[in-house]
Amino acid sequence: MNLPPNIPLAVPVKRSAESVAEAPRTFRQEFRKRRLLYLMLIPAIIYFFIYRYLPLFGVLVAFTDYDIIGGVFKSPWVGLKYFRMLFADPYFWRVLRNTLIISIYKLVWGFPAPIILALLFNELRSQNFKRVTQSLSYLPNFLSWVILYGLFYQFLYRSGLVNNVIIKPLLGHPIDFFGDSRYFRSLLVITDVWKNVGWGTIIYLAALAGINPELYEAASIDGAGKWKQALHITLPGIRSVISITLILSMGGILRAGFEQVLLMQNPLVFDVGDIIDTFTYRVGLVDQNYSYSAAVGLFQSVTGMLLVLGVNRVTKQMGQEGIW
Amino acid sequence: MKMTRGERIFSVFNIIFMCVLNFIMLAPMLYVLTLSIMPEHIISQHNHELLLPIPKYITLESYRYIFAGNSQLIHAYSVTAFLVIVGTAINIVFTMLMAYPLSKTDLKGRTAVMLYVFITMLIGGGLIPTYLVVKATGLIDSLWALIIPNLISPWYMIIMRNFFAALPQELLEAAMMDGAGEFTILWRIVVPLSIPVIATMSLFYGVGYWNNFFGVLIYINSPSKWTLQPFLRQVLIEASPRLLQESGALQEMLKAPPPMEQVKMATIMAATVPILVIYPFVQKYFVKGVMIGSVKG
Repeated sequence: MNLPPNIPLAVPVKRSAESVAEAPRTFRQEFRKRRLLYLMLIPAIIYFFIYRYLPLFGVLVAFTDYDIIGGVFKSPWVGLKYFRMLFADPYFWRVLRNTLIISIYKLVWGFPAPIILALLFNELRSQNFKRVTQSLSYLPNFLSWVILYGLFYQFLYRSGLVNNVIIKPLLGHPIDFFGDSRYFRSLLVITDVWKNVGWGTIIYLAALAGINPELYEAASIDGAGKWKQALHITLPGIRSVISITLILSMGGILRAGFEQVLLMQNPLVFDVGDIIDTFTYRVGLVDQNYSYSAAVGLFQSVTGMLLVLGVNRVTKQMGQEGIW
Repeated sequence: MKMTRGERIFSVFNIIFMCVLNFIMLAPMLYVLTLSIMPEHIISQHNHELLLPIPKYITLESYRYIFAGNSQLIHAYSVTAFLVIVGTAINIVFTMLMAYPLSKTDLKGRTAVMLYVFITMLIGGGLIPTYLVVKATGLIDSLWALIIPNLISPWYMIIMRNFFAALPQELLEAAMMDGAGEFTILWRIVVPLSIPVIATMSLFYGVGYWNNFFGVLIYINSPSKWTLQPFLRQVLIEASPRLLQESGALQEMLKAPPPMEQVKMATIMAATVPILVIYPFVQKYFVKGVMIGSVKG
């Protein structure tokens, strides 16, 4: 049973006397009001069911020979046929390897970068300079990969600015970032860090703002320099945010940046740059092999989930805060 | 507070580093802007090394071309604007309707609903099953395919819920005492107090529509319903500028279109500038909106 809400102190005495007098009706009203709250949830529950749970059941497609005309229910059950096909396909192992390499590189460079940048932002004294710098660094997050592909293609292609001004004078020859397998992954990692580093600082800046300033005062009275303060106050202060961000990024380890790769890749660099997502897309929507593609997708999302759950568990065992 | 020698050196290096960083963030955009307003012969004269435009050569020919007459770009703009305005409004309404009841810590069943949402954040059906559901609900080749399947983002919903939960509850209770219903409270009290988070979430949803490329690629078949991003992508891989103008429009311009490189650069800028214009206005809200909302709850 729901109790009537506690009467806040700010409410004048007269009114609270009234509501005590009307207690039985307030009771019914309360129930009616709660009903409205449940009513508000109904569209959301329906939405989540249709567009977020039905696709989960839809992974069953991966265990059938999908019949494009008849739909899921008319498709014959084939069990693990597509998974066997998948694990026997050398091309799948190649895209899996590419995906892992690209996302691990992105993690190695892209994970610490916003932490370091947030710490540096925090040390800037001029508030105006700080604001401008922060705003500029958030901006790329809001540009689409299509725009960024256009920008970076122009900037980095064989006779673009970077090659003409920096690379040719240094190496004596241009680097074809978009068409040379040796540099394509670096291109993906660099542009990804460029897009995300600034935006990534926000969550750490929020955590930094929550550290009690008295801790710094006490430390400096005790003679701790800036470096010691950073090591013993700042880092422990943001440790839980760091571990949560790391756990969450584990879920994306088999997603190496779909739109980015789809837009930047070309047959010249498929050997190093084709990833699970682009493979799923080509097999599924271009070749219309729904079952095979769904099998790849299922493998990907289950692995992602297991990684999140596993890392979360390990983190908690190490005494850190997990995601729940 | 007095700085030690080491701290002063650090401070100087930090400022230099930040200046370099700002330059790196700006350079690609400046370069493309320059290429879009400099004539081709000047660019090749300078061996493609122009980062800033030379004022006396500036030409807006390529911009005139992409916006003139029966322009495909303007058509793509209007489709995108529809999505950004209508789509974002719908997203915000439904996200709020879900976030508000869940912000009541004493609501029975709240934990169950949160779990229901949380599971979908951990695992998704993937590309093909989602595509099949969108197809089964009859949305293929409709702009609604870009709105309804993404009606509520679980992340944004949680941020909003946390923001609502952090509002002074006495205000809401006082309104309830005065006999206001939950819908009235949500509209009259919660919404006006939540402008930072609503502005931030509108920016996120809106930019999502503006930047949507893949959704359009897979769900929309008719080029007449293309939004900016697929259009821009088409322009970027195209060799001739003619695609930008419907045949019959502006004959004299079609006879001598500006160089394709310049047209491409101008189209990139045309897709970027609206974000650059709106961004500073919303930016002041989002740090506040996200920070309060992301307090773990």
